[in-house]
Amino acid sequence: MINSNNALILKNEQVARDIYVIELHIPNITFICRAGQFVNLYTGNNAMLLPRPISICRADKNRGVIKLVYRIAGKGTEIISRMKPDSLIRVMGPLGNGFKLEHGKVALVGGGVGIPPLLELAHALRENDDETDINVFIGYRNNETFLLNEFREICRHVDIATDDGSAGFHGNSVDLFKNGDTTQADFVYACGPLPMLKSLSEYMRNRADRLFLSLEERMGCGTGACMGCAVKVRDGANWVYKRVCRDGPVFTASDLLFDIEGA
Amino acid sequence: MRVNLSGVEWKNPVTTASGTFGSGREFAEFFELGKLGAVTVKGVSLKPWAGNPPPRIAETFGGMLNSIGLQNPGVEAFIRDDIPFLRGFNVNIIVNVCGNSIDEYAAVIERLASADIDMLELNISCPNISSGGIAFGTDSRLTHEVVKRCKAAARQPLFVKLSPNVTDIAEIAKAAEAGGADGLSLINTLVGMKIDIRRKKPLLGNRVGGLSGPAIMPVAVRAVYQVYKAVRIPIIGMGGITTGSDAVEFLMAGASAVAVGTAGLINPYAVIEVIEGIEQFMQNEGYSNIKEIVGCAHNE
Repeated sequence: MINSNNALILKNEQVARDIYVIELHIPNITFICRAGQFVNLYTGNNAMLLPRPISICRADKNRGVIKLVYRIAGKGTEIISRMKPDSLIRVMGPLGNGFKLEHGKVALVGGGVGIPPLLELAHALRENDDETDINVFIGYRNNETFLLNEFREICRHVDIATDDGSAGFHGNSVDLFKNGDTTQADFVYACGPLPMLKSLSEYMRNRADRLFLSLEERMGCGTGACMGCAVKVRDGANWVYKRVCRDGPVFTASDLLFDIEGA
Repeated sequence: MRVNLSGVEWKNPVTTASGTFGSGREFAEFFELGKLGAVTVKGVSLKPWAGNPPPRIAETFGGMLNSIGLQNPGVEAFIRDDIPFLRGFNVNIIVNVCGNSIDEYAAVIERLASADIDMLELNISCPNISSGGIAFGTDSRLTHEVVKRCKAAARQPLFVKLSPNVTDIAEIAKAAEAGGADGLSLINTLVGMKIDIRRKKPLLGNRVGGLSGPAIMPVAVRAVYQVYKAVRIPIIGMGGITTGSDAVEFLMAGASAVAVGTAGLINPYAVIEVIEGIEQFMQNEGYSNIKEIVGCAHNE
């Protein structure tokens, strides 16, 4: 069931350069959403009609509050960043399919605004099975390490990298993961920029069926109607375009072709 | 609110614009599809079409560009999967038909002759495919030819969807009418482009795309107004309709029915709000029949 209504903004704060956390009171979405799903946020501005799809970072089912972390990528997200607590924003969701929850030794690899959905995933994996060994490898631009403490609260092993070397490993999350994944994880979940996901897929090409990637693409509607967010997916010996919003956003790396423009 | 288009009864004059509504599955989660006058489905071709490379969507001021490229699973899959789904609702089914050649258009229409659908919409105006599509809709001789051939194959009323990317849309409309069209749908999208200034190249994978949304509404209203004067067949008006009053503009310009497209991608309830808005307008202004509004802007 997809809901489309106004949500009360409880908090909307900057946590790093261009990165904001917004908390929304929207029980009907919070109660039913799963890790890896996303919501559409609307600017309310008639010049900027399209929704901004943002992945769910945390769903507090007791309070009916979802937390989202977003980056100012253009005018639309800039308008959203200026919205004040106690005002309303139109939200649609939950959208897309969540992550499939596996067991055993798992690694979560995230870069930039690909990090937030991994937090809800870590909670979901933990709630699903306390024995799951969750290892987190996340890469930031610099020492503005948003969400780091929240990962440390629930995961024993959290490694960080920064592009500028100001904290943790000097480099990106994929290199961090390569160094840290000495006793190979049974399953790997990743979210981040396309070049990062591509490089991770290359590294894991022999076990790409155990690598789950959450993708981003320019979306029209977010519900699957417009066919705007296409990604090439294997179909026997051939391929077809699938919809990131409806068929994803999580795909198994072995199903993807990765010849997308810009990759 | 009832209207009759080429012998097909609609419970209200509102449908969905092809390509913005899939085959209705995504929207059935939000409202009862039977509330609509008709569902116009996404373009159906003879064989499956893969569509264009991404990115396929760009936001523009008050609108959007798309270059989907009519991705669809083909007429056989449509007949097998989508018609039974839509027949679960009390709603007219309009099938948008696309092709790369006159033979392909005609073959889809022949295949649909025995299908349980209510109307056909011939798409000779899509700007996103390399051959066919808009090439037919921008040349009155070709328009006449393709419409004539398709009309001969059609067992349901045939509407022809026209492109605004022409010098004189009335001339194309007359050619479609002369070819035997039962009605016209106007307008399809306007060809546009957005440049990604960081990458220094067109943003869309297909370079050009079709502009839709509120930004194009005045162009669409003008096209309906102009064509209404030139032909005698009914018009379904579309292009940027978001509210009931937008729809009333189209009716007054000469449309017998309207379609809601881009607005529904942004707000899934938009098409329902448009139906309610027209109803409200009629009540407030004391109209009892849609016919009293259709074309009334010409009686100035």
